[in-house]
Amino acid sequence: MANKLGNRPADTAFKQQRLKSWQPLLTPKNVIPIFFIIGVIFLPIGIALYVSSESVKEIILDYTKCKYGGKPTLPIAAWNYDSQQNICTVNFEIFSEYKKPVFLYYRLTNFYQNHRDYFKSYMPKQLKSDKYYKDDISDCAPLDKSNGKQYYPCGLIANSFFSDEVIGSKLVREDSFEYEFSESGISWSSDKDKYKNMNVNQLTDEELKNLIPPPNWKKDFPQYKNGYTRENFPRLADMERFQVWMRVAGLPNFRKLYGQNKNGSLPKGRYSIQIIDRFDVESFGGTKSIIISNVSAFGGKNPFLGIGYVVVGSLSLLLGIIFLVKNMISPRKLGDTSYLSYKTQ
Amino acid sequence: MSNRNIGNERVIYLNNNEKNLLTYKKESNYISTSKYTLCSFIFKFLREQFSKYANVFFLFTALLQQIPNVSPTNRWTTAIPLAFVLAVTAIKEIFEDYKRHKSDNEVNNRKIQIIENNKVVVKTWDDVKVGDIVRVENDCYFPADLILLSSSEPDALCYIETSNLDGETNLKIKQGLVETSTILTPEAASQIQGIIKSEQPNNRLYNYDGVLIMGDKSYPLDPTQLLLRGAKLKNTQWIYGVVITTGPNTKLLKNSNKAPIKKTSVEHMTNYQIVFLFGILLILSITCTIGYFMRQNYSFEKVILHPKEDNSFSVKDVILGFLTFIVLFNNLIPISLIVTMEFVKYCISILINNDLDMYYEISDTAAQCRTSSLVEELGQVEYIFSDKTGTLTCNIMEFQKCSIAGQKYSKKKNKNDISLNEKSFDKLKNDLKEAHFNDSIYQFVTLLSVCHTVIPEQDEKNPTVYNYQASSPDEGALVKGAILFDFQFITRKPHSIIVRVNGKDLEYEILNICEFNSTRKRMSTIVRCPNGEIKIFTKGADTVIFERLAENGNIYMDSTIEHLEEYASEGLRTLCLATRTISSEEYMSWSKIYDEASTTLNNREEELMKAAELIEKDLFLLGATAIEDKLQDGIPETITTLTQAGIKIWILTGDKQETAVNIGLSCKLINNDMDLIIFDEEEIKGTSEGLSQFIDEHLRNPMGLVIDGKTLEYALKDDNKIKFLELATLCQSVICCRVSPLQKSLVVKLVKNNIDAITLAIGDGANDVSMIQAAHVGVGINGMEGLQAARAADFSISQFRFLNKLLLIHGSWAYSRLSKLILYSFYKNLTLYLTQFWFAFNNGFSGQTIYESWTLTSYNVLFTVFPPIVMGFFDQFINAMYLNKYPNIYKEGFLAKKFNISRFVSWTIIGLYHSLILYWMIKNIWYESQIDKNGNIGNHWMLGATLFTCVLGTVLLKAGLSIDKWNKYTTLAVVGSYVLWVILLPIYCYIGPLIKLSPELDGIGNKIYSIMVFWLTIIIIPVVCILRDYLWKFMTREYFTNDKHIIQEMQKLNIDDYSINQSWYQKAVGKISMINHMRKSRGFAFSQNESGQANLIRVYDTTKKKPTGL
Repeated sequence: MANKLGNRPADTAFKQQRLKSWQPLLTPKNVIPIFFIIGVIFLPIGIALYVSSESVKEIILDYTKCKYGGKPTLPIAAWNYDSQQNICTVNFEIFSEYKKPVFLYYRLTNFYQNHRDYFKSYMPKQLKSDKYYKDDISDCAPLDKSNGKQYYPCGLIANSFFSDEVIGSKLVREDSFEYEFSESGISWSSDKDKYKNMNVNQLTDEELKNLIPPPNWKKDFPQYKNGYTRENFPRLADMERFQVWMRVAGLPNFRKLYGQNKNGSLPKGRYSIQIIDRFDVESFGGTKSIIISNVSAFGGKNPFLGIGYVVVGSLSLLLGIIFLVKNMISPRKLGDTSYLSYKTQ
Repeated sequence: MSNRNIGNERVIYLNNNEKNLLTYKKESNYISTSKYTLCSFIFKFLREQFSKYANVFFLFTALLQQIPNVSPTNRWTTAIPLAFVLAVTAIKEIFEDYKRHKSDNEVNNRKIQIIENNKVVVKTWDDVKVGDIVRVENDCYFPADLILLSSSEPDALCYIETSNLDGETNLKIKQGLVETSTILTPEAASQIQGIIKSEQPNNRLYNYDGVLIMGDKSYPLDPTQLLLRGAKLKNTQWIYGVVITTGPNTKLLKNSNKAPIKKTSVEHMTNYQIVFLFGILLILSITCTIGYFMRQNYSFEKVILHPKEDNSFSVKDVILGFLTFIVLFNNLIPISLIVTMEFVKYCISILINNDLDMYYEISDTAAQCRTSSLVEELGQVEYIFSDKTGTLTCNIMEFQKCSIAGQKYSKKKNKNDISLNEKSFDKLKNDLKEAHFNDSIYQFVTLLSVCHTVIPEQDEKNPTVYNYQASSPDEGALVKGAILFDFQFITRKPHSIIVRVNGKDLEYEILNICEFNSTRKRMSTIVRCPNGEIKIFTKGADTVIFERLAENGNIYMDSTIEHLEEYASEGLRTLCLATRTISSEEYMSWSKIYDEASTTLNNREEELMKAAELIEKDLFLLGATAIEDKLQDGIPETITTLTQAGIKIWILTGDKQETAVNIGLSCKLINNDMDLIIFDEEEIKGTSEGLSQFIDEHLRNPMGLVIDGKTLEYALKDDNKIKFLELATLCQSVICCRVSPLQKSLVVKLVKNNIDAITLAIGDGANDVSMIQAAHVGVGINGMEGLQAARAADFSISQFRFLNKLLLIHGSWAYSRLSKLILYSFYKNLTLYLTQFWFAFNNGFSGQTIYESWTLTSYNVLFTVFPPIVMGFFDQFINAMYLNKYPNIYKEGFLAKKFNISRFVSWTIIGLYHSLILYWMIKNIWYESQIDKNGNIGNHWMLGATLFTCVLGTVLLKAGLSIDKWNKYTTLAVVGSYVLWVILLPIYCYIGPLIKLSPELDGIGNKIYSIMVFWLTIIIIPVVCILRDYLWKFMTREYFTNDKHIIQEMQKLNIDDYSINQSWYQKAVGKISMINHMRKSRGFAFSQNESGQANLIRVYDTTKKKPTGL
């Protein structure tokens, strides 16, 4: 018998398309509860997020126009500019204590770190090499070489490294209390493997001569004005701000971490900060700011997510209520066969 | 005679292999239906694949990516998936072609006896050469086109069955030349010398011209001597024949077109949509290129990007920029779509093959899907063109009922089936034993066993059993019917027949036979009975019989008419039987007239008809027979269901009008509420006017159209065809009778080309092949004989009723599944790639990708590849039971409700909307570099990974919302895809940089999951996106409720709608029909070859021993 019916398909749920299954239908009975559930979950999260975001203290000091003098806008109380040394001193007031840890960021706008031509212009192998990197570095184009000499570090990203400097990396209160920010620990832990200090002593004189600072470094950093020597040679593995810079930002307005203070909270008071203004943002229509901020469990200050949760939560609740009322007043009969089209025709 | 002009002729030498080989060296009987050979595979395959726009496009993209600096993503991200996709398709093609090779081999390796040097040698079909003399035995197919030399029957006669060629199942008679009919042994066959001049190979089945030249004499050859490949020898023990054409040159193969490559309407539309998407791609790329170009004057580009002043901007940059964008957005067109689609279709076809409901136990065959690419077309069929014989009917005639002398008898035994006033056949048999020779019942049964042209054949194994060779299946049924009453027809001699009645052999002398033809609609046999009486037995259509009754011969007429109408309404085929005793004087005088008529040279047929008219008068009505042309199981139910599904069914048959109408009635295709329009005019004018007239009248009633092949010829002419089509489409059902295979395909093409509807042709014979190939979807019935149709078809099933499941369930599902699959695939890629586009506004139109290359590639080939597959494989918007119960829902298919421009546009807009929400929200959440709780900032790739997670979440939620039915695999695919990503991301972030595949991701893996905001982001964004869709879907169900919604709810709540319980409803309708019908038809139908039978049967003497031919 089995032989005779050899072509008989197997009677399995899979082959006969009878698999155990579930067909959820969007009927009021299950849609309304889902609206309520979303509402009940999202609303508290939203509120918590919003409150937490509001609890983050943050002050943004846009010093782009500092060098032109004039009246600054709040929260900057006053600024003054030393055009000899290009130092901008910004005065501002911290109205209440910033709980530790406190972070110092700089913010750039209209700076397309995510521009593809910019993005791809770097050479990870050069950064990771403790010897003179002999291989091709054309990835760094257009800033790979100049007259046969190799830029170190090469590429557009490195060249445009933010060159402003917060003097002493600190805030000074009227009463000379100094609040310092440390550079160490601001880059990602994984960055440690990506950079190596050049073993300067191993370099031959020729090799050293062949390594030149990127054009902007030469222009902006006084120490590199005359090129590299064994003494001033940049130690990339230690330059965490450089490493942070090299982690390209996703959007054209971005912050970068400049320093952090994990030891003490920032007490209230009138402070001043001194910045050496070297980084040209006006040429491309950008701005630059210094931001002092602490964080919450959810990170930096950004009310958007909290508001988002609140809006979605309340909207869901509202919809749930509307449909609940509607369904109580005039429920639709499910599977009402009298509405089948060929019957009504 | 010898100077007949054959034109460019072939010369075939008898028994001269060397000479034949010289000319026909290259001709072989080997046939091949496969697509590829080992050598041609690569070339043909690539040509076919790159005829698809999408593949060309991806090849182009893959090449673009090889240009240095153009590609924003890794240069192999298109080439590798493309190669993979092509490899999968190649495997599928190889697999399908392998099956074709296998079936070719089966045919080519069939055995055949060839005469070589006085001996019979068994060889395979592909060894048959032109000029070979072959011996074919009973029930075997002819391996090539042959000229019949001799046979086991007298005068080189043989019977063949040509159902594979023309669909007709009645046997046809072929006769060899007298000169060759004496070749009865292999020796004799090896001796004959001569040549055959034959026409060049052509596809005309019914024509043949040739000459046999033996010695200095030549004999003309015509179709009577021609045995075609595809036909089968029947009721003849053996024949000898000469091969004149082989393999691809045979008329059958010349008739079969290479199977056309069919594309489904969904595929067509998908192709358009791909072009449309390509348009979007161009627009996006151009927009970005313009943006890129404009921004060149921005100072950021000047100051930061081009610090060396020698970097100037050129046209080359614009072009390269444009190409960069093309590469960036290239996956707007989903690379995996085509392969996913083909894979899913293939899986669906396997499900179809494995459906137990379509498995036919009796022949041990399951349904078979041969062209998996057409599965979704099954869900959109609007017109079914069906063959009759072997498709709707079993091709078995059965003597079911009769009315004798006003008394009804029925074969049915069960008392419940037998109506009042009806007796069983057993009762009749008993009554007969006591009946006298002149009683009506005795006469009636005698007529059945005497008045016919059937030839009996004693069964070799069981001598008491006789097989009958009937060129008319009706007569066969009647003769077999008589056996039920112990009237067994056993011997035919040239002038008499013997009937064994209750064990006693009675010999009836056959004096004359007045043959059947369509004008006379009757046949008569004049016999001298064993008691010496001369009697005329007549059977025929009610009208012609009633006209010829004697005044006292019509006593049973009223009751017979009543019974006839009853039989007709049941779809039975009726014949009226009448008789008369003829005095020997009358016979003598008539016999002279008849003999004279039969020797006239001109108008012999007419003269014979006139002569017959003289004797067929004053008849006594005995009663009527009712033969059932047995329908296949479940035909009326299937047709009713298909009709309810809105499908229009046309019957295209070679049969006669009466037969066709009968079947139409019995399978409920036409009922009596319908006005039947019958066209059987031969005039062009009549047809044309008839068409106009009917359309003008625009009848309100449901109409049925019956059209004859001859009329159809005119109706299909260019001037009339649109009018004809207009009328035909107004009708609920159309029956075309006496149509040729060519006309069948023309009718199909007429509808296919002029109406925007999917057509399906179903048939079982080789004569249906052209129509099966012409229609959008061809379905072959795995009949009892021949698989020609099934082989040429896209789907083959064993029973017509399986069409129900194939269309309403598999078809609906496939259409709905593939619509979802395609639209969803477009949507998911649009959503992802449009975020890239929005991102372009924030990266200076530089072509930077927000997602890492391989993540991007794996989106298409890993993370979103399973949901479309499970949609295509498992989804059931309504389950099989409810689809079958509420066939109305099928209409959604051919109204293209699930897959059309507006659906496509709406899915496109949803993709656009979701991508906007996604990008806008992530931009605001990210703000100025997301800061984690340690104060660290996130970088570009972290932004990318977060957004990717959100996109994936959104499209998977959307998949979840689109899937109607969830099972464990569906859940696994949807949830699993997300989980897979969440698990793989950190692993990939660790391994990717390690193996230098994606250094970008370094350090993200261990960081991203520790950020709380990341988790909150990937929750809220998909929820916001999908909230609209969720609400929309719910509101549609609540406020724009349609049938689908209601039936889904009924299914869920287990509601049954008793008010439309179909079987009850149908019975009611059927009853009303029956009553209405009574005034209309009496169901006469009879199929018989026109003329020539009487002479042929006179050749037979079944008492003589037949030669063995060996």
